[in-house]
Amino acid sequence: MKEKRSQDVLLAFRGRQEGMSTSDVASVVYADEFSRIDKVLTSQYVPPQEVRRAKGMKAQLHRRVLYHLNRLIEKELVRVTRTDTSGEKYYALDIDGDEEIVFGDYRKRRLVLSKPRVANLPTGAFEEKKIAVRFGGEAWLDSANAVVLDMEDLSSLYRAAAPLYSEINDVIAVNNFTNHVNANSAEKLVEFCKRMLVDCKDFDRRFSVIVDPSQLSPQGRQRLLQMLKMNAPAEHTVKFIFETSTKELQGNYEFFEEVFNVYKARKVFFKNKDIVKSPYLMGKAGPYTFDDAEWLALDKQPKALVAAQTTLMVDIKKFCESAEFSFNAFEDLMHRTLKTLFSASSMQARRTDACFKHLLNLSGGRDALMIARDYIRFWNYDFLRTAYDSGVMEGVFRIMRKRTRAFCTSQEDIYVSCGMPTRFQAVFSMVNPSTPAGLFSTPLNRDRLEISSLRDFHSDGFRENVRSKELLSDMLGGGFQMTLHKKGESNPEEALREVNILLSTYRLPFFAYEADAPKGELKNLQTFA
Amino acid sequence: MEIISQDALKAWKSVLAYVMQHGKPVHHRQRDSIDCLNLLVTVLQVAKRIEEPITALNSLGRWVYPSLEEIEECVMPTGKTRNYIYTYGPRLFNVDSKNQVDDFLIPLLKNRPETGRAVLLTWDTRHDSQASGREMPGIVAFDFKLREGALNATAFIRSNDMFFGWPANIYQTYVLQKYVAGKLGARLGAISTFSTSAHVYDDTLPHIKKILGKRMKSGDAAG
Repeated sequence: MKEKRSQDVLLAFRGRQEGMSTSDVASVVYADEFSRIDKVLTSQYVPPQEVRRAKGMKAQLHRRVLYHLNRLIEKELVRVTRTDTSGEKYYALDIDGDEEIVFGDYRKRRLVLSKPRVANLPTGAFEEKKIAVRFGGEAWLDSANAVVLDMEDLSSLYRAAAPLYSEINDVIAVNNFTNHVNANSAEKLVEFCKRMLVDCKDFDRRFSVIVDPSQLSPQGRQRLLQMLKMNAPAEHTVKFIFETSTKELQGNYEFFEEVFNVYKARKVFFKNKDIVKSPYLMGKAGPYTFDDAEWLALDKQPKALVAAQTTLMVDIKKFCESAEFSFNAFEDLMHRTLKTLFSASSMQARRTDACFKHLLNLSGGRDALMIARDYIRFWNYDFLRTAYDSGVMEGVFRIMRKRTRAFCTSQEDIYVSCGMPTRFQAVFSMVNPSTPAGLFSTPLNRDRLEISSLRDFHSDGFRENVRSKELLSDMLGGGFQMTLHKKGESNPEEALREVNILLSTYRLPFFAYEADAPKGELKNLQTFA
Repeated sequence: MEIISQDALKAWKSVLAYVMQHGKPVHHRQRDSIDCLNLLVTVLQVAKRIEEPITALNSLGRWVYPSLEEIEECVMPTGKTRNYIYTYGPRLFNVDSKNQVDDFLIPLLKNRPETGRAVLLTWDTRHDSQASGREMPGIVAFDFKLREGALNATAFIRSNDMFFGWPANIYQTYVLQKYVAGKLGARLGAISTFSTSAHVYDDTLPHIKKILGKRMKSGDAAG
């Protein structure tokens, strides 16, 4: 029995890089007991004698774990890594590589414990369980995630973008593309678009083009429509993001009608200029944007401006299913995520010259990173709403956002006081719903936001659904993209009215409009039986 | 006020206790703090436990404190310091192609060991003497004195967060002292920090209390 318990204590270290305190080990080895004790100690409604009893039991479990830990230290299987100021010791495995451990003489049990492979970062244990996932995998620090370019002409734009595929691992975006549309022929624009499509496919990158239709010349409109026609059916599309407002949508009615005609069943992306001024981009990981106040404070956009440096993705459903959800546990996960992002950001920043040579050249120095942020993306972000209710989800996100801001400010203050003033801003966003299956937990069955006609905008169900999207948009300040699905084939005139309602009525900075595929165009049906 | 201590950890705890006891309230960088003016701290045995204040901060587990490697890089010329708004290394070793340390300080101390001019400046009036400037160096100067074969170093700090900043600042001064002493073949003498504003922020008081434990008596401040 004692040997089995020592083995359990050893197994508690599996996958852990950083030291574990006695409490940490006890909470793993005696998980059920700890869970019951925790419930008593965190409850407001338990009588004092029950609380005293729970504390006594906790102390007893600690003593049991300490007994086994001391035995393991004697056997040189565990070592003390440090002692904190309260006197609590921290332990780690004292083995190198893979090793067989045999317990007892009468029963040989083959137990393999190896040195944890995940880098020594606070989210190590969560990454082992795939609750936290780095975007970019092991090479996640070798590149930034997203950049916005603003260049004077099309050829220098292509020359600028091409070397960036090794420095940016998700999306390259072009701001003020309207200028290029107005200044170049349709042939040149189509050629540019073709080259970007090929590059996107070859390098597995995404490309966003930000267009303000109100700035298009009459000829520019025709050229852009030609580009859209060429782009629309392609597999790896260049995403066109239309920056508009209610007034401008109405002022460019015919143009947008044509856009919907071209796109048919494909998503058309909109950014609401009345709500935000900073650009939005759409990457593999999800949407990106800048802090609006920081964007507006720029005197002039540098030629290259990084929107996101590093990204950690958190599977909320998997986290809640791995252990019963508690606010403290989620707070711990978020704190570790922030610490990991900060450490990662620092490591990456110290390699800036090596990793971002081209970016730095383009922007003339460190300006490329001056308003960059680090991203925490949530998969199944609304799991708490389905498991509990909207109030719980909102409450948790609000507090976590507040804690995140406080942590970022603290880190900046710490580094300033050390004579190393640096920037760290972390922000929440969503994981792209079209992320390949298998990486995360099963996607939640969400009610699609869909309409058949204008009447649907007035239904209670629709309004409640959109309000929850507004809330999420507010919580996930790094970018939230919702899609309005139109049942039935695309009708440009109706689409315009429907988009207008979204622009004028709801607080949604970024959304897409998608109609059903036209009848008879089932691409996967080759012949009739 | 002068605090003299054998090692950095004792000095740090004494300083924290003193500032908490005698500091006056001041609103600083949009935060509430308490500060003492003109506080001199001397650590006599610098090689002994110089990094222990940093270890103590890390043990609280709440934040990411710069690693010893990062702290060292920011004061030495080989630092990968691209991420910082300013840093000390370039201001000491490469200002307009001028290397204050290797081209001025070390030759001066070699030729005139008793000199009182062995001063390094990190404050650059061209960039820092502006009301609307961003961040500017907290350590504005370093002074070195060779006495009886030992190199003593003093850092002049215009604004010093004694909880988060001082542990890194004393380590930075030690790194520089070690570099210069190595070039001179001298022993390591004492390190002093002279903080014209030695402050702690109100929101760090709970953590300071953890560091100090129950040790809050003013008699301890004398080290």
